[in-house]
Amino acid sequence: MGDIYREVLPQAPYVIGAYGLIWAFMIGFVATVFSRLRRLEKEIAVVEAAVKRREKAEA
Amino acid sequence: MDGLAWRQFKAILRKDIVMELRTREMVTSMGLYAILTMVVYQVALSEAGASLDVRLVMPGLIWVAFIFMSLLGLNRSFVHEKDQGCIEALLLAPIDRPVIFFSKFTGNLLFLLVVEVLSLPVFSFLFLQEQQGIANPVWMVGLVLLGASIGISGVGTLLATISVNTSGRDIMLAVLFVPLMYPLLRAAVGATFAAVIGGPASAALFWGWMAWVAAFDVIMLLVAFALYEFVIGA
Amino acid sequence: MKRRPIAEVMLALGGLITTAAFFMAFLWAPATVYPDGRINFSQKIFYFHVPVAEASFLVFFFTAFYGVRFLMTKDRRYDVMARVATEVTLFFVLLTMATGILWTRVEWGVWWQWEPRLTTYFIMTLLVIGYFVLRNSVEDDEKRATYAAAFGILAFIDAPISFFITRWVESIHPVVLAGGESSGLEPPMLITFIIAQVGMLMLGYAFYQMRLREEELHERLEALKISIGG
Repeated sequence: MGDIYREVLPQAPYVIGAYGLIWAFMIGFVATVFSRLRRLEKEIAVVEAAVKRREKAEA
Repeated sequence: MDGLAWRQFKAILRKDIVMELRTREMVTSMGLYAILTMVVYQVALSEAGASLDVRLVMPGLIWVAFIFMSLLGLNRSFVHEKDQGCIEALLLAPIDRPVIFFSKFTGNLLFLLVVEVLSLPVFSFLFLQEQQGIANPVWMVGLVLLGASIGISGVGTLLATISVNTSGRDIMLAVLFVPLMYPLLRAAVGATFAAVIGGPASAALFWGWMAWVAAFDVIMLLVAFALYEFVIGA
Repeated sequence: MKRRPIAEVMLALGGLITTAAFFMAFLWAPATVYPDGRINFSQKIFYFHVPVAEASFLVFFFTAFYGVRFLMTKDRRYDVMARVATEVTLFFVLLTMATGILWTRVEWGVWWQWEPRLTTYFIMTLLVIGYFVLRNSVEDDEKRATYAAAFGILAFIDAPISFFITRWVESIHPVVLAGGESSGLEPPMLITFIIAQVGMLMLGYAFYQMRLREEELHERLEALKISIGG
């Protein structure tokens, strides 16, 4: 068991770093795109409501 | 190719050559650029000491000079057309787009080869006097020059047409051109090295690298040719 | 709008499958050992590094594919698709570079080595970046789309070169899936790898669709704003 620690530990930071980077990038990407999507949908809803109101006023 | 396309091709090519013969702008600026690069090489190698065999780095050095020199020339060849409205005139004329591509390509290739052939003796005069010369026959170096210059001019003609319409012109050409040229450059340096250093295995090595150069030329020329019509019409 | 559920299902599935592959890689797949018997822990990077790299090649193909479609049809939608595909390519390329560099540090003792695979992949990175530099320096919409399509097609030629280079010339980069004797993976390792690969491709598809939807919504919003007079 001691051997494993001696052999694995020096390499561990790099492996953890690699997987950490991948997870962080992926989660970051998904989170930012989702938040932007939600904001866009909200804006569209607001503008669409404005369009409807205007159509009603004109009619 | 029918007679008309051939005549159009000759007309555009002659126009470029006549303009160059009158102004000598491209060949002089490219040649001067090559000589300036050699001065920079002298500085770069100045601390390397007398033990340095320049022949080992020479293939790399000359291709660095040629790639940046060709950037200069390619840019030039389209800046004229663009700034003086020649491109619009060419496009209005009933000329097939492939003819435009091949005539510009041939012109660029011609000027590039002229400068390369002129600057190589200067390079060997300045750097290779105390060294042994080129181990293999000189025509091998000539073949690399021809093969690589075809690829450089082919892709370069397409990319210069693109970059002349962008806001960053010369820097844009470099950003697009240098990475695309990497496989060709690598093979050209390999082939030049085999020709210069020689040795028993050098012939096989040389033809191996030349096969890469040929493959790159064929693929890139076909793709550039196919894309040119869209790019110049945009 | 229709494709949204597919993208979300793919995202969830891809996330699940890659997570499963992650645990399989560390808990199930046997560790490889060096010739002297020491455990090769850094080999674990392979299970995500290679799928991410393969995904980058595959997504880059769509840059060229939609580039061709755009040139044939002059339909702006294909330009958007090509651009989004290149964005996802850049994302995967950067991840491949980062994980690769960490592995190289462990295995070769250096952060970077000018080795055929690394060099051609670095060139590919520069081409992908060049694609965006080009886009940013053209004002006219149609010209930008045409130039980007042409450059995307030219740039993609480097992808197969980078992929096959380790099989063509001598390279110290491992070729795991070449089918040679020395490269054979034990079944659990191979299964883990394939699962990670499938998951990564699903994620790539989901990322692409999500970004595409964002672009579509953005355009719809602009159109709506114009329709109500700014």
